[in-house]
Amino acid sequence: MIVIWLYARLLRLYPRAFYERFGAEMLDVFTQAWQARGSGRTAALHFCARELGGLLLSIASEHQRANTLSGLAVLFRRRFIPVWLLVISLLIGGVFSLNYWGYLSVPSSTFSQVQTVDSIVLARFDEDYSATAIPLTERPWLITPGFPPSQILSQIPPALGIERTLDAALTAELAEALADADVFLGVSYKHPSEPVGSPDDCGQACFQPGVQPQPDGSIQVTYPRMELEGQQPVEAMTQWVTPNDWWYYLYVIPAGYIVQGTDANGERLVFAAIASGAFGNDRYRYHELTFRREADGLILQNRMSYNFDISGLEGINAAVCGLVLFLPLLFAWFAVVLIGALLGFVRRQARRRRSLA
Amino acid sequence: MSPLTESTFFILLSLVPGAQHGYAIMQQVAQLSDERVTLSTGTLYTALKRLLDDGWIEQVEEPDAPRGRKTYRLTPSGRTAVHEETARLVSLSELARRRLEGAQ
Repeated sequence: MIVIWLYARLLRLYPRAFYERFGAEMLDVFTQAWQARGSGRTAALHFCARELGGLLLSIASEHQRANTLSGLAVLFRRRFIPVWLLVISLLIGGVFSLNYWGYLSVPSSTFSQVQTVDSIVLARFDEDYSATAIPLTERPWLITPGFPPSQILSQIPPALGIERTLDAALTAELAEALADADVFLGVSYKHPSEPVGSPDDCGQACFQPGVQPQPDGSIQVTYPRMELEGQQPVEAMTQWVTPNDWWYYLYVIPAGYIVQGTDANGERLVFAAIASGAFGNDRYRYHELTFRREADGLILQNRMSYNFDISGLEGINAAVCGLVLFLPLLFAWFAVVLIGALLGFVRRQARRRRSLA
Repeated sequence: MSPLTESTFFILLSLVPGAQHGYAIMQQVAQLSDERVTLSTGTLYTALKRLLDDGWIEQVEEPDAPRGRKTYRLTPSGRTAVHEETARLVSLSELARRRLEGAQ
């Protein structure tokens, strides 16, 4: 694990006495904390930021107390330069991975209120709030880390299968409750784009993406095709997405989980987690609603909704970006060391020749 | 005795019931502070070293502990420090309470 390896290297920056006394123990504690940090990129990022910040301050403070080197100078010892290059590369890679930064604003799931789960159904939602069970559950989006519905799935007991049908009475009750809660259900772009004018005089506005449900259940998706250079939209591209395509539900059509269960007091609950208004993973609205089942229907008990929109900020993966940056920097550092060694050798030879002469 | 930092106070408090190893102290501090104070490993060991140097805690040898894992416990002077700090905080809050009630 690179994080633990890196931490072990950074520990060597402590004064020798401190490292020999606490180094192994600190690595053991760090490893335990890393393993218990929780899942997801956000948890990992928070953990690393906290640990790195605490470690650097602690190293500087220990050097100051030990009076070995000034707190900052030790961090730039020559033998640690490759470690710093790696840290800097990964930090720069993280900054460029803007598509992941959006997930930092995702609030915690409210699903923890559901203490016991009796049933779970994956369903699509129409604009009239009616829900229909989705028979196929092998959807990549459902298990994508960071995509909110994936958090629900990870908390469902593995033995409990996802049901393929939805009770008609529950559907009617839920439709009424969702309508009362005024939940937005829809797609980001309702209508296919109609080219207006030529690309020269209307720019990107000519070909705004559009989505249009078709009578056969498929969806017509229209979006602009860009020229490679200058990214000017040159024409509208149209594609038909069918229910068997992996990005039909959640990606375009509002969908999510309906869970029935009980809370800590044994009260009957209906929990709905719905992603809607989506067009890709970088733009969607997400709702979690918890209803208490009463004799006269579902009563809204708790609600969490947010808009997620990082479209246009997509970058590349932090690790890939970091390594792409790190390798040339490492080679450059080796070149500097090599040139330094050669110059030293030449200087020593010249000195020797002078002394012989 | 100068006032303790919040982290130091929580570390000492976590050792009041008995000896703990480093990771358990981290967890106890988070739990005692309702997750408000989350120590990094570096911060924890800087504080532990200071407390060891001051003689407020001591290392306990555990023969069966996994490699690198050490246990710490409060010394009598550490326990006194916790009592003194607690008394200081109580007196401060009492003073504040009297002042606030007087203002009403």
